[in-house]
Amino acid sequence: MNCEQAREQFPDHLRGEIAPASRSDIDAHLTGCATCREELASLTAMWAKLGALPEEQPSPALGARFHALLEAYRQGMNQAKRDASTRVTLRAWLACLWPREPALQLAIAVVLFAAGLLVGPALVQDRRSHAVDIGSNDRALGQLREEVSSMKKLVTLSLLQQQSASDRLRGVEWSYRLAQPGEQVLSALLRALDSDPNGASASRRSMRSISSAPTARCDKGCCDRWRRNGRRWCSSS
Amino acid sequence: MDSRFRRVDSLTDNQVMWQVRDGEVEKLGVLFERHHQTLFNFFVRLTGSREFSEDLVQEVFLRMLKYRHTFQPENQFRSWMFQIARNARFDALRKRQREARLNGPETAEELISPEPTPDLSTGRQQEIGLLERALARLPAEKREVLLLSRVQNLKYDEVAEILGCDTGAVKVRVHRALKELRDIFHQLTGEKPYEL
Repeated sequence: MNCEQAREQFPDHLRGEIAPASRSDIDAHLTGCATCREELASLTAMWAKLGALPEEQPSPALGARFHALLEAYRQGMNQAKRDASTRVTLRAWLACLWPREPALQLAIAVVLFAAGLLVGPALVQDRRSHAVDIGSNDRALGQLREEVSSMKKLVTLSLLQQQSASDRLRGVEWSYRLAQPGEQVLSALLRALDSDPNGASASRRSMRSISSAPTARCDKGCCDRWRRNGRRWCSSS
Repeated sequence: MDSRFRRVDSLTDNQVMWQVRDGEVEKLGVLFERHHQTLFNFFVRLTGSREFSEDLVQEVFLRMLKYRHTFQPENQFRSWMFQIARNARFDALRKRQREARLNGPETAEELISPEPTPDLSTGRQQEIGLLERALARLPAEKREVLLLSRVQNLKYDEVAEILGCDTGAVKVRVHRALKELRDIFHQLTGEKPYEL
C-alpha cells in the first residue's frame, strides 16, 4: 500500500470504520511511513476537537414559536375539513333526489318520457299556429303591395292624361316607379311621346327603362304602335 | 417532555413521521423536541447567526408539515430532515441576497459569538473559540460536510444522500475539509502549520 492509497482510508480510519481486510495493510504502512503517521495523527486530533464542540442553546422563544405555528396549522386543517364536509353534504342532498334503485330510476325515466309525449304535441301546435299567423301576414302584405301598385298606376295614368304639360311630365316621372306599368300606362306614355315634343325624351327614357326591366312583359299591341312610330320597343319587336 | 408525547417515546423518528404524514400533525411536536437543538446547532455553525438559525429551524418544521406527504417509508428521517434544512437555508440566503441584507459571502467568522461556558477552563474556552473561528473561515461547502459528518455524527452514506453525491466523494470532501481546517487552526494558534 502506498501513501496515496493509505490516505484514501483516513476518513474511515477517523470514524473507526476501516474494513478488516484493509486494516493490516494500513497499519503496516503507517508503521513504516512517518509522514502518513503524523498526517493521520494531526487529522485525528482535529477530528476529536470538532466532536467536542459544545452545543449552542436556542432561545426559549423558539419552542413557543413552533407550538404557535403547529396550532395555527391544525386550525387551518380543521377549517379546510369543515369546508370540504359542507360541500359533501350538498352533494349528498342532491344525490338524495335521485333514487339508487334501478327500478325507480326506470320508472322516473318512463314518466318523464310520457310527459314529453303529452306536452310535445301541444308545443308543436303552438309553433304551427305561429307559422300560420306569419303566412297570413305575408298575404296581407302582398295585398297591400298590389294596392299600392294600383294606386301608382292610377296616379301615373291620371297625370299623363292631364292637359298641363308639366302634369304629363310628372306622370312620366311616376311611370319610372312602376315595375309593371300595364297597357294603359304604356299607351298614355306613347300619346305623351306623340303629342308633346318637350316631354318626348323623358317618355323615351321611361319606356326604355320599363322595357329593360326583367319583369316587364312584352306587350304586342304597344310593340306594334312603337314600330309604327319607327322605333323599336323591345328586343322581340 | 410534555406528557402528551410520553406514549410515543418508544417510537422511532420514522414511525412518528409516518403518523404525522397520515394526519396526526400534532405528533410533529415529538420530533421538534428531539431534533430542534440539533438543527439549531447545525445552522448556527453554518451561518454564524443565532437569530437567522432560529428562523431556519422554524422554517424546517413548517416545511415538514407542508411536505409531509413526500416522506416515504424508505426515507430515513434524519437524512430527510437535513435535506429540508439545506434547501431552507439555500432559499433563505437567496432571498436575503436579493434583499441585500447580508454582506459578505460564505464565511461566518464575525457573526458567531459563543457564550462562555462556566464549567470549562479558560484554556479550553480559548481553544473552542479558536476552533470556531477556524471553522467559520472555511468555505461553506467544506464547513457543511464537516458539520454533518462529525458534529452531527451522520454516516458517510447518509451525508452522501443529503448532499446528492456518492459516498466516495463525501470521504474525499471530508479529508480535504479537515486538512484545511487544521491548517487554519494552526495559523490562528500561531503554531507551525503541518507540512507534508
